[in-house]
Parts: sequence; structure tokens; C-alpha cells
Amino acid sequence: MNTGGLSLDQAPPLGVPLRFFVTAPLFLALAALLLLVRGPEVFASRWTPAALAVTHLITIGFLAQIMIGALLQLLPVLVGAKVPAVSGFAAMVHSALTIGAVMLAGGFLSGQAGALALGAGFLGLGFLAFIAAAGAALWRVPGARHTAWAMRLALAALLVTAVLGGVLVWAMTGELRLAGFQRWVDVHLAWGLAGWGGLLLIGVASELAPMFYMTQRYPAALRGWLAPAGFALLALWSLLGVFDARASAAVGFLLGALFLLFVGVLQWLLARRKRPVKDATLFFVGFANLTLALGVLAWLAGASGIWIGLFLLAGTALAFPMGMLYKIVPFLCWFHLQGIQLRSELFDRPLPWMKGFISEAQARWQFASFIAAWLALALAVPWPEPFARIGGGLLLLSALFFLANLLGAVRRFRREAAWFERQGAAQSVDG
Amino acid sequence: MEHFVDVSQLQPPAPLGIVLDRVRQLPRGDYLHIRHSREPFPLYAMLADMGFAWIGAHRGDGFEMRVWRRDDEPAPPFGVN
Repeated sequence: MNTGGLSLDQAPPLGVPLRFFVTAPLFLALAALLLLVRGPEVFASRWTPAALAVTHLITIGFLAQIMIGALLQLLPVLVGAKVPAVSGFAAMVHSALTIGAVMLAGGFLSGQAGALALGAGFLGLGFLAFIAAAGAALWRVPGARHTAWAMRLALAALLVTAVLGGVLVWAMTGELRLAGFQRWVDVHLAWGLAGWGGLLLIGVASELAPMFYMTQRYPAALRGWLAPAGFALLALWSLLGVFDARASAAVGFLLGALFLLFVGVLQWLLARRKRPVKDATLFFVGFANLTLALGVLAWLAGASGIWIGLFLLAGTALAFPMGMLYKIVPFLCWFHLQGIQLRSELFDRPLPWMKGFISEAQARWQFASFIAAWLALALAVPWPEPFARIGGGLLLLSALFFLANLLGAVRRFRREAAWFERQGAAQSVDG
Repeated sequence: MEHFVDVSQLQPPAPLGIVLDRVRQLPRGDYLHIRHSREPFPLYAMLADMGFAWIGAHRGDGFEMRVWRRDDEPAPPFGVN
């Protein structure tokens, strides 16, 4: 039983998640610009400097920024965990990740060891600060809630990813001799995508689907063990890979099967939801689910890294966060306006509803632009010239469209907030 | 006297908006019984801000709350009607 002893500032200020959300499309635009300029090189091999730069602009600049912003917001909402000194932490983490991602990508492109090392240093600082802050908040959540456990394991996976990334940069700068460099990269990539990305997706999507789409609850029998089993399989896969390739491949197969099961059940729940309201965000989530399944199948089939990148990075890692932000940003704008209205006690003014911040048409057109970009990038796998550049150009437009939609919601929020402020000032003059 | 609202089948932000509207209209001395699909953490700070107190419990698949004005008689705990 809860008797409500929570502090008044339970939800973080709007600026905390927004700074991450608004920065992310800029990084996607940078990645797209790089595809526009050096697209064929990105598609030539995953080891080219341009491919490494694009990969990290997307995974750190876009995906991690949104995941961290969303987690700082969702921790209090989903599991009641409050991040200590959240505004200060958010500013520090955001600055470190932004500077770090730019320097790392610059380091890959220029081959300058100093830029790589400095980028890795800033990223290490940002990620470690975030892990410490979010970990401290999650530590205090009572009981063994599935979502909290998925989040804790995702944080642990982020720590492994960041440490491995640091080791790889150390090796790339020539300071460290690392045997089996490619295997280390694969392990780094698996912990980043399947661990940090995948486990967080399991924890958050199984909560958000019933909340945002009125689906049935994710089956409790699965929710309890999917994330811990995924973490254990990932650890086993990484360790076995050192001395038993066949056993490692078998564990890898199980890991792939686990994600297929997760996404299959999620899509099944979405298809059978109680109120099938048409909603653009469902296009994004459906496409993310499809590309996740295809990416896992491509990985299991031993397809080249370019195909896996097309499905998981250009597909799932872009579509899922975009769809979620179209739900989260309008909700946050509305939620904070509610707070302003409560304080002002001016209840006659109706607040804009979710689609009053980002319209259905705006979200659908941006989805169309994203799909056009993705299809061009898919064609770039067999025909890098000219499709990699066309895909880059379209992705640039889609990223800017996405940014414009998010900023539109913020502008609407500011306009409404300013109205309440004006009325409050007028009242205090009258009084 | 008990007032009852079931927001468990509604998409956000409707549950929060409806609950805030209903508690504002709550007559003196009464309490609002809310059925929600999940524990509504963001609601707590707003209720406290508005001068309300509450009790809540996970029940079945969802979460139930009773909300009253802090200076009124508390609502009976769950299990007591």
C-alpha cells in the first residue's frame, strides 16, 4: 500500500529529456550528410572510416541520446525511481555525449588518434555519469519489478559496451596490442545492440505497449525472464567465443531466438489491441519490429555486416525511437502544461491534446520520408552508387523533418505556457 | 461518500487529465475511488500540490486509489468499505 510520501518534483523538468531529444535528430542529420557525401564508402565495408563514423553518429548521437533522455524521464514514471540532482546530471551527461560523439566520429574520419582518444574520454565520462545516476535511482526501487530489472541489466550492458569501446579506441590509437581485434569489435557491437539496446527495448516496450496502445499486458511468464535470459546468453556467447566457436554459435542462435520471440509476441499484442485506433506511431513501431526480426535473421544466417546495419541501425534503431518520441514529447508537453495550469488555477482554458502538439499528418509524412530514405539505403547494398547518396539525401530531409516536428511541439508548449504566465502576471497586477 | 472513476481502458494522457478534473470537482468530505491500469506515479506530485492525500494498492491486473482532500476525513483503506 502506498500512502504517497513522494516529493513534489517527482517528474524531471521538461528541459531534461528535451535537450537529448532535440540533439538526436541533429546527429542523424550529420550521419545522413556523411552518407550523402561519402555513401559508397560507407557501404563498401563496415571497417571503412566513414562506416565507423556513421555507425557511431547513429548509435551514440541519435539512439543513445534518445534512450538516455527517455530513461531519465521514464524512470520516475514507470518504476517510481527519481534520479538524484537530475538537471545537473542531465546537462553534464548531454554535453559529454555530444562532444564525445562529434570527436569520435571526427577521429574515425580523420584517423587522428588524439581526436579518437579525446572522444572516447568524453563518452566514457558521459556514460559512466549516466550509469551512476540511473543506477543509483534504480537501486532504490523496491521489489523485483520486471521493468526495473530489465533497466538494470541494460545499464550493465551499457557499461560493458562503453568499457569495450574504450579498449578498442586504446588499441586503435596504437597504445595497446589487442589480439583478435575483430572479435572484440563483434562483442562490443553485440553488447551495445543486443544488450543495452535490446534489453532496454524488452523492458520499456513491454510497459509502453499496454500504456500507449491499450494492448493486453505482455505475458508475465515471458516478461520475468526475457531480459535476464538475454543478458545471461549474451555473457555466455561472449565468453564461449574465446575458446569454443561452435558452442558460442549455438548460444548466439538461442539469443537470436529470444529476440524473435520477444518481437513476435509484441507484434501479436499490437495486432490484437483492444482499440485499433489509427496512429502514425504504430507505423514506426511496426517497421521497427519488422526490421528487428529481419536483422536477427540476417545475423543468424551469417549475412554481411552491411545487411545487419541496414536492418538494425537504419531500421530498428531509427524507427523505434522516432515512434516513441511522437508519443513521449506531446505527452510531456501536455503533462507540464497541466502542472502550470494547476499552479495558475486557470481551469477554463482547454489544453491542447496529444495531436495538438504534433499532428497525425506531420508524423505520417515524416514516416513516409523515412521509409523512402530506408528503401534507397536498401538499394544501396547492391548498388552503392548512386543509391547510398540518394538514401543519405532523403535521410537528411527526414531527420530535419523529424526535428521540425519536435520543435513544433516545443513551440506550442511555450506559447501555451506564455499565455498562463501573462494571465498570472495580469492577475497579480489586478490583485 | 465514494465517487468512482475507471480510467484503466484509456490512453495517456486521458487517465491523468480525467482524474485531475474529477478530484477538482470532488465535494467536501467525499473521496474519489480510481481504477487505473498501472500505478500512476506522475499523478502523485500533482495531487500533493493540489492538497490531496491518497492511498493506493495493486489489485489484480491494475492499480486502485482513493483520493481525498488532505483536511477532510481520510478514505477507508482497501478492504474496508
